Amino acid sequence: MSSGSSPPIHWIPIGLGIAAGFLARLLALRSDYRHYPGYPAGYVSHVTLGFLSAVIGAVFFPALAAKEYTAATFLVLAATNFTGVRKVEVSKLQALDSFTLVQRGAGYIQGIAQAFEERNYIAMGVAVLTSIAAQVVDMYFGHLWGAAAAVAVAAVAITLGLVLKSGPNLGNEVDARIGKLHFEKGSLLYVDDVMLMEVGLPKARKRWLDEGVGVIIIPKTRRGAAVLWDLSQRQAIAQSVSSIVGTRSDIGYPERTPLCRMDLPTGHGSAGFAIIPVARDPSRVLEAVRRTPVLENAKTHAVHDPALESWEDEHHIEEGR
Amino acid sequence: MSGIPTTRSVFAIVTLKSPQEVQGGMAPVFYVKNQEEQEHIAMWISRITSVAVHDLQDGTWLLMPI
Repeated sequence: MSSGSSPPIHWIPIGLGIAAGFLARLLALRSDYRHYPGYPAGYVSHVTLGFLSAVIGAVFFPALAAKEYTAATFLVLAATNFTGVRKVEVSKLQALDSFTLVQRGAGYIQGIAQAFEERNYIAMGVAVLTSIAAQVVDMYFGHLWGAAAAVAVAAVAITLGLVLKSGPNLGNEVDARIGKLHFEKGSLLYVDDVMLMEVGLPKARKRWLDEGVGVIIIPKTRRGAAVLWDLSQRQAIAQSVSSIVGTRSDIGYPERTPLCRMDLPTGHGSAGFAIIPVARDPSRVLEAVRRTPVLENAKTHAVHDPALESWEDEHHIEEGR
Repeated sequence: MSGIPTTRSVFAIVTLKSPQEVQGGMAPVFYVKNQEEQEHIAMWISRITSVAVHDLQDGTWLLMPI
């Protein structure tokens, strides 16, 4: 190395890092039944941000190696920027939620916004790892091996990123089956043994009996039992199902709101859910319940109760994670 | 709705009972002659103002915001 001047910046690791990070972001980007992002404009903003995070990540190690420390500190700036992205997502989703019949709820919104932020970090991380691999191997074994190492590291990092991308669905933690909707004491709506709400209007009760679909949700893991106690999680179920099968509800018809309530008398962590769907296909309702994401914020409410544990043993509920 | 719904107040009362038995404090009371009229009044108020109808099982219905 010549004294005084910094070594030249290597462009190949940067290029490979950008490509890998960008690919990681693209693969994590998909619009599913949650309808988000929806329009092309939504994709453009996420693709652009993903590209920027890949650039920042890819430049990090080559800049450090070239002793361009100022450039490396830009990584810190980027982190602040992505936190800003999350805040923007939250306020946007909250604004949308205020004009929706079945709302996502605070927990779901935070989860979505967090996922967007995290995917940018994953893109950045993949880019960092790839460019490090490319440059280090390049130094000792030449360009060809450097590129090969970059591709290998990128493949592993991207796969890891995709695994980290999403949490479990509710179907991994609970069993869902169709329950019978009926009324007790005149006007209390039940799904099997779970009381949901009081429906005063006789015509509304008939509507529930004729067109409603009831679901019993039974935890099969300890985490499943814990997350159902979370109000945000149950709101997410209602939102998720009504976005898939529709809900025959509108302003002026509050008694038709889909809702999910706990089986309180037993306290076993089972829940009941009822909806008046547009598409009256019980199997799709069940599928929608199972595909609801387990909210990250709902994971931590662990309940430890000796009575519950003996019930769990009886029903072969596995140890929670 | 944002967050957990807090304690809700009664918006209106539709009752088969007499004015001697049921009186409105903070909510207006609709006295009706029979169940048919009760359903009619309650449903119309519900549709117009988006309140939910709850049956106290003693001839009195409460109309409350959800």
